[in-house]
Amino acid sequence: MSFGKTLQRIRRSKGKTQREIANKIEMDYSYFSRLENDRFESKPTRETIDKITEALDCTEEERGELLAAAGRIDEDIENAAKIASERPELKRLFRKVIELSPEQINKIEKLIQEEQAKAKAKRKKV
Amino acid sequence: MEIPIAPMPSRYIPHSKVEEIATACNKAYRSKCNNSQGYPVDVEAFIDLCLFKSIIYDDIEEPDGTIVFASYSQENDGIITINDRHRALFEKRPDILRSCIGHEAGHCILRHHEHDSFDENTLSLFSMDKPKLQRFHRSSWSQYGLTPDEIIQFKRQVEQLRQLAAISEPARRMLEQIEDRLEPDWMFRQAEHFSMCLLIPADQLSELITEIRFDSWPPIYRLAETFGVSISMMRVRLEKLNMLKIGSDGKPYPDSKLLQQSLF
Repeated sequence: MSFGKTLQRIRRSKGKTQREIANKIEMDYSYFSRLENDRFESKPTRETIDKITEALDCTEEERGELLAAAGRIDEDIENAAKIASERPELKRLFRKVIELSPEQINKIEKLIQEEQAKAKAKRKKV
Repeated sequence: MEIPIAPMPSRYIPHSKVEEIATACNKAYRSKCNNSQGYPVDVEAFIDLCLFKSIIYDDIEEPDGTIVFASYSQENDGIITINDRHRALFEKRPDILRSCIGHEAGHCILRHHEHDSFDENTLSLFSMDKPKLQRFHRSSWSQYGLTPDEIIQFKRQVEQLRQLAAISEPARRMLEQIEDRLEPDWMFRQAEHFSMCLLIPADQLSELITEIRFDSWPPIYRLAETFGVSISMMRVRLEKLNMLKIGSDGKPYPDSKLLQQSLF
C-alpha cells in the first residue's frame, strides 16, 4: 500500500480530517492533501512522518507502517545497520540470523541474554 | 444512520427524492462527525469520513474564459479535486467552498458517473469517432474549447436535429445524447439541489425559523451565516420550501398563506 493510502487509512481510523492534522503540524492543508494522494515523487522525510504520527497519536505499529510505506525504516534499525556496517562480525551474524526460523532466533536471543547476564555478573565482582 | 444508495441516475429523479437522500446524508454526517445539529456542515469531513472519498487541493486547468472550482472523478475509488488556484477566494468565502464540495458530493452520491452518457460508444458531436468524454457543468460554450465557427456549425446541426426529432427516433436519440454530454442540466440541477439540502437540512431549518419573519433581508443573511451558506443558496432554499417570496421590488416577503401549509 502506498504511503498516501496508509496515511489516509490510519487518519480515518482516528476520525480526523486532513485539515485537522495539517493545522496541528503547521503544514499547508493543500500540501497535506497532495501527500495523502501520493502526488509527490519523493517520499516524506522521517521528520515529517514523526510530526504526523505524533499529531495522529499513532501506535508504534502504525508508525512503523508509515515509515515502511515511505521506504524509511525504524530509527533503531537504521542505527543498528550503521553500526553493523562498521563491524564485519555483526554483518556476518546478521546475514546468518536472517535465515533462521522464529524459534531458532528465540533460542539465540536467550543465549545472548545469558551471555549478557554473565558479563554483568562478572563486572559486579570486579 | 447509513448513507443511502441512490437509484440509477436519471433526469426523471424528482427533487423530492434528491432531498430525501441528502437528508439521510446529513443525518449520517451528524452521528459520524459529532455534529448533532447538522450545521454548518464540514463538507470535507463528510466526504472523507462518511463517503470515504479522497479530497485533494490541486491545480485544475481552466480553458480560456472559464472557472472550474472543483471536480469529481471515479479514479482511486473516488476523488474530489478542489482547484487550488481559487484558494484565496475559498478562504475568504468558505460558503462557496462548502457549496462546491457539496455539489461534487451530489454527483458522487447520485451516481452520475454511471449514467449511460458516459458510455464510450456515445457518438461524438461532429463525427462518428469515439468522443472525448469530459463534462462541464455550465452552458458556456468556450468551456468545450469550441471556436466561434464551430459554435455556429454546432448550433445549426442541433437546430436541424430538433426539427427532425419529432419524426425521427435516431435524431431524437442523438439530440438527447448531445444535450446530455454537453450540458447535462438535469445533473447539474440535481447536484445543486443535493448540496443545498445537505447544507441546509430541512428539519433544523424549520426549528430555527419559527420566530423569524422574512420581511427584510437581515434575518435571511443571519440564517445564511448560521448554516455557513451563501445568501443566494439560503434564499433559494426558503423559496423552494415556500417560506419566502421575493417581490417585484426585490424585497423579501413571508409567504404567510403557505407558511401554514409548509412542508414541515
